[in-house]
Amino acid sequence: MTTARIDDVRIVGLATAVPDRTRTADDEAARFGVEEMQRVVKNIGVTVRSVAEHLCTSDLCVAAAERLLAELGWAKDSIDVLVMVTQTPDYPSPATACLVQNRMGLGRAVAAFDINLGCSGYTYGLQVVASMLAGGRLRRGLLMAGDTVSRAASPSDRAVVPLFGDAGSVTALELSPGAGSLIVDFGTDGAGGIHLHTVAGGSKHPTCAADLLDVPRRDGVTRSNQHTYMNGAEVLTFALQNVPGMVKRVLEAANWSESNVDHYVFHQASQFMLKNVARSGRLPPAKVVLALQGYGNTSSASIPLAINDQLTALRSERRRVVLGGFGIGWSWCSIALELGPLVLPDVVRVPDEPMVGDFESLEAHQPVSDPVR
Amino acid sequence: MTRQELYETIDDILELPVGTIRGGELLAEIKTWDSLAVVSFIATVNGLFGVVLSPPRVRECTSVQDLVALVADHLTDGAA
Repeated sequence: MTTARIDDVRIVGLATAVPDRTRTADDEAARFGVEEMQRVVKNIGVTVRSVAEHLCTSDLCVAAAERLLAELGWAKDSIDVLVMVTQTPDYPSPATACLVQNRMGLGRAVAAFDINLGCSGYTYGLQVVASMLAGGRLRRGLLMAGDTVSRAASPSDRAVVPLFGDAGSVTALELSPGAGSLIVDFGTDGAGGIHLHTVAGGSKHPTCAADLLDVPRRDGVTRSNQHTYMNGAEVLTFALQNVPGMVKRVLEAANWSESNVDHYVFHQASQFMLKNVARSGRLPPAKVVLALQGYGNTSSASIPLAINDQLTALRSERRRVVLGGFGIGWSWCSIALELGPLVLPDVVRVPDEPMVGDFESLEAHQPVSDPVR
Repeated sequence: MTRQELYETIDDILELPVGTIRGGELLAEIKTWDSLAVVSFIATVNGLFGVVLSPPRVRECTSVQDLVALVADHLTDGAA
């Protein structure tokens, strides 16, 4: 495990966006049964989720960014860094951050790239953008973090369908000498990848026709190789074994005691997970932010969405906050920081309508009507 | 915690009326013993005794007796 300190960088604003389409536990009861859904809801704490049928991660992040930049009054060519954290990019290539740079009309001098992380991605992304700004030569950065994980869930997977939602976020950071510090603790245990992953779609397992088929599996779930596989018991075990230690280390590095902290904002894995992590780490439940209702587990967007939904006091107040990302990888990263006052617009609701693709209309992609023999 | 109290805790995890579990039950015969119950059992044991059980060890259990054996050292009447 490693701890780090990043000085002279300030988070000045944060915005999030979700699809306007929702699904309820009652909707899922048709497939999984009423009693079964009652058990699941009691566990995960989600009866309504925001889900996308059409929207991509970039659509949600751009909607959030347009709102935030307007409220901040930042010119688009003043952005020096754009980092996109996602595991559901628009295309296998190029990086979604590059597409977003063009779509938003950001300047060409911007450094734009993607980071492939999920549940821990927001805090890793903050660390990366803040570190780039702290170098002193770049002034303004945007961190986009978002996923459309509901689209990667097998419709018959009771462990993930009622839990996963979709959201995008943007966080604006600025070089600000004298601003406080971000104290970071992070780590990785790739042995955990076996418990939460997607099999097909990369170069180790390029997607073929068979990967699209929904097949009954030995774990009792019918899914294709393009769907997300999650072993919930292993995720819980990982969280119980690692999150309390991660929090303890970042508090020590920040020279804070538990009583100094106003809020813990963890990745919103599930209500059950967060309550058990809080209990295991002996954290006061009232300080642990819960923001799953209405959204679900939104992967890399869940921490900023929880801030946006639950910590609106940050619009006018300064609070001591511990952010904690943990999950797929296994990967974890926590940050202790003083946050606020922030520009924090209300959560943006984006119409879930079909969007125009970036490349599909390219002449080169059109099929040859009379193939040359 | 006594063995009887653990049985009642397992009743709660499996959403069964208190007093249903008596120790001899086969897990395969309990409808609510599923992945959700495995997760709940691991979390409950962590809360009660501060230990994190390995999911494969829990899944290998075929009876309530097997589950109890995983935490017998922590029961006040564990050897009973």
